[in-house]
Amino acid sequence: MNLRISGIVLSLSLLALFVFTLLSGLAMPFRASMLPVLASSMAIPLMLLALYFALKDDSKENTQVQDSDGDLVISKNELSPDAFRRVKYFFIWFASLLATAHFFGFLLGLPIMVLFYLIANREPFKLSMILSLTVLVILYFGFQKGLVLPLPEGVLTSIIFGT
Amino acid sequence: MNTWDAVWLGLIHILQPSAFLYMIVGIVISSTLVALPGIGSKTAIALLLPLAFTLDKFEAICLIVSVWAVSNTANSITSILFAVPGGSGSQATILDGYPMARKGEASRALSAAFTSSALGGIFGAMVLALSLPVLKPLVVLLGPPEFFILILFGIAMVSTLSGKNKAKGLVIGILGLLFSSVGIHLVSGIPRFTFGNLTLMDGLSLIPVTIGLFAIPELISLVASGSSISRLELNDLDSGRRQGIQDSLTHWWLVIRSSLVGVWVGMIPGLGSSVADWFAYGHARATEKGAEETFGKGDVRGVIAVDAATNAKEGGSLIPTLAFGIPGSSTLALVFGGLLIVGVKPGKDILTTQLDITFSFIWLLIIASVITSFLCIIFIKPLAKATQVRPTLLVPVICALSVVGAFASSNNFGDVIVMAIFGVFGYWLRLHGWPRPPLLLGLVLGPEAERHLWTSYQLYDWEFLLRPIAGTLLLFLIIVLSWPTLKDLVAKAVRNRS
Repeated sequence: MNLRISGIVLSLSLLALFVFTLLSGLAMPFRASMLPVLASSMAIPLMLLALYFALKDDSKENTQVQDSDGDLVISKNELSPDAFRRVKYFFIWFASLLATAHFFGFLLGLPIMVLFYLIANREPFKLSMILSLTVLVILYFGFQKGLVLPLPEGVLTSIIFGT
Repeated sequence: MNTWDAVWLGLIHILQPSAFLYMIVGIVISSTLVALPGIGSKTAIALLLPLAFTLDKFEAICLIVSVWAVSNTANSITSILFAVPGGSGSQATILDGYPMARKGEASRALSAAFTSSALGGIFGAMVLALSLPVLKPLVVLLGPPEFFILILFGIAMVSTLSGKNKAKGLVIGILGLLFSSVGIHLVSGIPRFTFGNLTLMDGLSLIPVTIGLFAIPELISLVASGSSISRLELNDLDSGRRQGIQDSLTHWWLVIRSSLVGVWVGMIPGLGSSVADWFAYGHARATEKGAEETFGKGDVRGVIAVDAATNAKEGGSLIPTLAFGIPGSSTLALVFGGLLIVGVKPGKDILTTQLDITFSFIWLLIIASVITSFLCIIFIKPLAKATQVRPTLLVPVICALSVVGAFASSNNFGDVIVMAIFGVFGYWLRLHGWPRPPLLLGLVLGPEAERHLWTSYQLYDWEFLLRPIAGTLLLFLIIVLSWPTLKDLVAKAVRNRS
């Protein structure tokens, strides 16, 4: 999608969100509605102002300006078609990571997806194996045993192993 | 509590073996994570917060505060060695640090940076300690209406100062406030914006939102840029450490002046590290002898000024945070949120009955700064090597840890989904120049803002906005927000008339 259109879609989505929160807030009892109504009614005019600027000169301002608190300016090579292709593949991998973690559990799913990512990015197999095993060790000994965090087993593994 | 008792107790709390151990853990993990490409201080804190929730109060304070307090120190490594800013606070370090590295003085520049960081951290902590007697009576004067306006003021300042387009910053700050209202309203029991979803009934947790908003977009940025700094060669890092330390001590007056600049910047919500470093650099360039000729060509004074200021800023930024509960930055908002969860509530109590906790913060700033600088000087080489790790190795590992971090906040897979959604949203915001820090600030301060708003309304109806202090603060807020527009209008009117 064109970057300009994507920016306008973002602005319109936020505007729609504020209108929704305002209308929902008005339907709530007074005490629960105070903050949502107050915040939404302040946000809508500001959002319209931001949308006006987005429509007026989005082409001039499609990169993030210096963020005073930790963010650096978005670089030009992050906006290249090649970069967007890489981001697309990352999103696919990330969605698969979540799905694998959900279906096969964290202890099995996460190290497998780490291994998959490393091999897909042509990292040496031995190094990929070591890193995936390191993730497994951190998850098991660091989180499950050390922090006594019950990592989820996964929907499919629970069915298969009957746990 | 007697002040001297509090000073002593504060030190004892953090010198307990387990608390001290967690401080060291925080320092080591923070310095290493921040040195890695693409991992900022917010990601480091967000990944460590689930660990903090399993600890006792002072262990958690030691871990959270040490991770935050030293996160600027290791940022200088990539700035000096590769001219790549490790964080927004280390951009000005490049101007003189990188030319020094190219002259074969990388180790000297790094040692000077780390030493001045420690001195700046100590200075910031001392200013914080000295400000306490002034803050105490001030805080007692304020009631719910004033605190409500102050929270709005803090969010507005961070919003307007975190980007070129102020409207965008304010919208995102308000969006943060709205996100804080998601979940069951504690007093009325009404579910707000939950859509019948069980995960949302408890509200949006701080950790998944932070990881999603900051860590995931940074990882995407690493993937998108597709390169690392690994192809650059490391300079000689064996000699020059002693010289660097000596440089910082010799230029003590510059360290003090730059630290003052840092403290001043830190005290104003919204003015972050990136402002502190440029202000300090500008100040040093304007006041140091012969700086016009040597600055920018590898003058160690340029490095010293910047690093002293960025670390001193942390002490200054704790002043409004501890006294009024207004974190001046999103990183501090995250620390603030973590402290609230472990039972430390900034405000009146922390300056009166729990003064020992405040002094624990001060001692932590001092001790953590010194230990970090010492460790960074000793382990310059491993830290420099950490900066060269390939993004393809980092991205999947940090992603996997982020998933576990999000899950660990409430043992609920729904929070992992929340993290993923905020990850995509954060990337979208970043792509179009919408600042993300105000959202975090709004999310953290939202519940307090709502509480103060309701109490103020109950006590004074809407007239609370006209109370002397609250009204003055509100007027000041309106002037600050509308000043750039007013200035333009006046200038246009004058031009038209002439």
